[in-house]
Amino acid sequence: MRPMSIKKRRTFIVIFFALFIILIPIVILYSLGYRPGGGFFLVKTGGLYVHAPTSGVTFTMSNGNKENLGLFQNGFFVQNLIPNDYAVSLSKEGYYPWAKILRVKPQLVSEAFPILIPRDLKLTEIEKTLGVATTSSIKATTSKVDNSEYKRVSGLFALATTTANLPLQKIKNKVEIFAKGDNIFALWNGDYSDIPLSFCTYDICEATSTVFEAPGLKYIDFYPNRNDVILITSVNGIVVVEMDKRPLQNIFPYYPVRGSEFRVDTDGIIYVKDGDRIFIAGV
Amino acid sequence: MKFTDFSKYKVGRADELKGTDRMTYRALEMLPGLLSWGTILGAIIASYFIPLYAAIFIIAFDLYWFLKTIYLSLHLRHNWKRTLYNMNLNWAEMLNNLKYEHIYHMVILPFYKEGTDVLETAISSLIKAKVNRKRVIVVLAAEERAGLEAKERAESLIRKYAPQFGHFIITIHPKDQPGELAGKGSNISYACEEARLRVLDTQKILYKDVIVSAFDIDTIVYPQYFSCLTWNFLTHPNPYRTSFQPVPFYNNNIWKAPALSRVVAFSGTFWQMIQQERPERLATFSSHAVSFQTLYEVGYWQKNMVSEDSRIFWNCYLAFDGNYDVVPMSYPVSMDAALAPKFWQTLKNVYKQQRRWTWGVENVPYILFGFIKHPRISLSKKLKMTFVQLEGFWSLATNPIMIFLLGWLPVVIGHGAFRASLLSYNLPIITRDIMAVTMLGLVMSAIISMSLLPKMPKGIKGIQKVWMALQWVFVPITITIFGAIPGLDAQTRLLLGKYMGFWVTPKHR
Repeated sequence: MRPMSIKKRRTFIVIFFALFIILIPIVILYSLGYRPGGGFFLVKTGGLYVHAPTSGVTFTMSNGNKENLGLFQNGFFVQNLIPNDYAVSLSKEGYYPWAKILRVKPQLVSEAFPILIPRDLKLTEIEKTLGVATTSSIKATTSKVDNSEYKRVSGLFALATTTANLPLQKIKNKVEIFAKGDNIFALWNGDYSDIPLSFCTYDICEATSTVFEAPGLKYIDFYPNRNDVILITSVNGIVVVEMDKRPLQNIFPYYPVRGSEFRVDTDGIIYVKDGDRIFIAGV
Repeated sequence: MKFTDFSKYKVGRADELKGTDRMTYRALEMLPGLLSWGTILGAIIASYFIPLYAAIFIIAFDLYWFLKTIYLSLHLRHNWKRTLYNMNLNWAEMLNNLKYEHIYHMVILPFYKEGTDVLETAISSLIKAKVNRKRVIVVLAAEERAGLEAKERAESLIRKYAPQFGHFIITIHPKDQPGELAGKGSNISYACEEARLRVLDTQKILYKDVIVSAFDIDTIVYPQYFSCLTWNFLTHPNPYRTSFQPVPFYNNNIWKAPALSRVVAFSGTFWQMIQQERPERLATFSSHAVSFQTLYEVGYWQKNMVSEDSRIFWNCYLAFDGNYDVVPMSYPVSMDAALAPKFWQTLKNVYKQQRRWTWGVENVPYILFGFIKHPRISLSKKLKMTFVQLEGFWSLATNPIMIFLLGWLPVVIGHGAFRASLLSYNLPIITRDIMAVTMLGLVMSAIISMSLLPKMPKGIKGIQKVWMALQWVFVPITITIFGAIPGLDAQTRLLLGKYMGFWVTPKHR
């Protein structure tokens, strides 16, 4: 049996070279968002990417597209979209649905970072006192002692009370939020080129923005692990507000009980105080 | 003037030269490393500063790699069929039409501290081979530095096996010879000259009638190796300007080697099979054969460097003014896959073996320096060979890194508007998809490897056969960690002038 002939090898080279020359522009133009339009023309398309904050979510688009999050997915990427505004939503059973209108631009991807808040907040109470069992030679008794954890968390609430008259201000990853009256503002303290999406509308980004107006505003803080979502205590209780200025701004009730308060500790745990009772909120 | 008379004909490295030649050779030593590092660093820098162009380049590169993989796999498939065909062919019958009785086979078996079992397996395979053993000259090439034990092992073997062959001699390569690097090249060169003086000259055997097979001590010949070699030698129009290259199967101990070592071993075999279909790119590698006459004319293998197996081809190429070829025999010899008693030691050995092989990059400065100095090789030949060599070593060290590690880089470190571009989202998807389609070719690798396996030894579980097929999923890891990285390691050492010595792969079965 003879080695592969030079002629055959040259034919292969010519075929593969031709394939390379043909495929290169097709693949590159496809990657850049060009798609066949009418006739021989190409149109520029764009895409959108919606991050999934948790597993088991369903993504829906105004063009009828519906998709469940796959096992190895951490978001929904849709391309081949003609530049336009698209309504997208994310839902999961037991959570408030999140929705947004995203503007798709040619060759660009509009991103969104949704947040899903449970309809029934899971609360674990921190007991004021703890029962301690003591055993003597005659009988076993149980006595009550103060719970140090309750004391520590109460301290978080007490600390804030002393500064209640001062303007509320928090900073996280160069994003600053502060309150003036009932209004909450956000300020970007970094380079303009790195400005987060939450400071941008469709076309312009601004380093300062008005986030929300909350009557009877008492307290604000960042939602754990996010610098684009905030928790607010107002007259109506605790709410979660998305800073993203693109419509629709998502506002979710978190613990809608008048007079309730919240604190977020350095470990990102949310504590809810309702009267004398303090709870750990499931995030 | 013959090029063999050129005083720098057998230069090993830059520091053996003086003046401008030294500077030129040093610059040429740096060239492969500079090209590879330049590519990798260039990709990183471009990914940061011009991510858009870097991404376009990576997509084009992915596509090039994809098509190249298909192109090479066609060669592999053809050689697989050809090798199987040749293994089933009756070569003795093929020889009947030729006058071959005058041919002698000299088999050089260099060893260091390997055990008697390894040596005996190699010699036994020669006995089992279909050849007139009276016309076989076995040269057991020991090293003085291996001590008395090695000498005693060789002597016990000569007592046992010498009557089976026409000639069986032991040579003891003296240690610490000036101008020599301890290793296979210096040993087999010494052994060859000893064999000339002690056998060929005393028996008045014509140098032209002797074909030398330079083996490793773990090389086992397949039954028809000598017939196949003789046929190729006798039917070649210019056998004294030709080397003969069998296909190295690394499967002596394949059933005992771990999956990663097996994949690396088979990948090595597959690469050689591909090269067998591209003889213009083929240089001698590992176990190979060449006429004694040719070896004598060029002064045997080089003694002052590591990769003597491929260097002998380049020595001949320059000596015979570029009129020198390698005949791909497409007939196997088998050797050991890297194996050690412990898993991590095996991986270490695999890495070191690969680094030694990729240290073949030391041939690049030799070839280019030779081309600069050689007046009689045509410019087109020089340019073609230069491209083939540089592209080969560059591909080896950079392609897997570019494909598997840097393909995502513009997305990770690219900044500004690029991050919001559709291209930045499509880059990982397209890279992943092209890789996935390319990896489908591994099914063919699995099929070919299964067909080349030796019989399963007793005591090995049947499930091992399934692993033999599934092991190919490790390819992205093996071609990066045991291909590109040792390749880059070797090129970096050459770039920095930190020359490697000869590392003897420990043999375990």
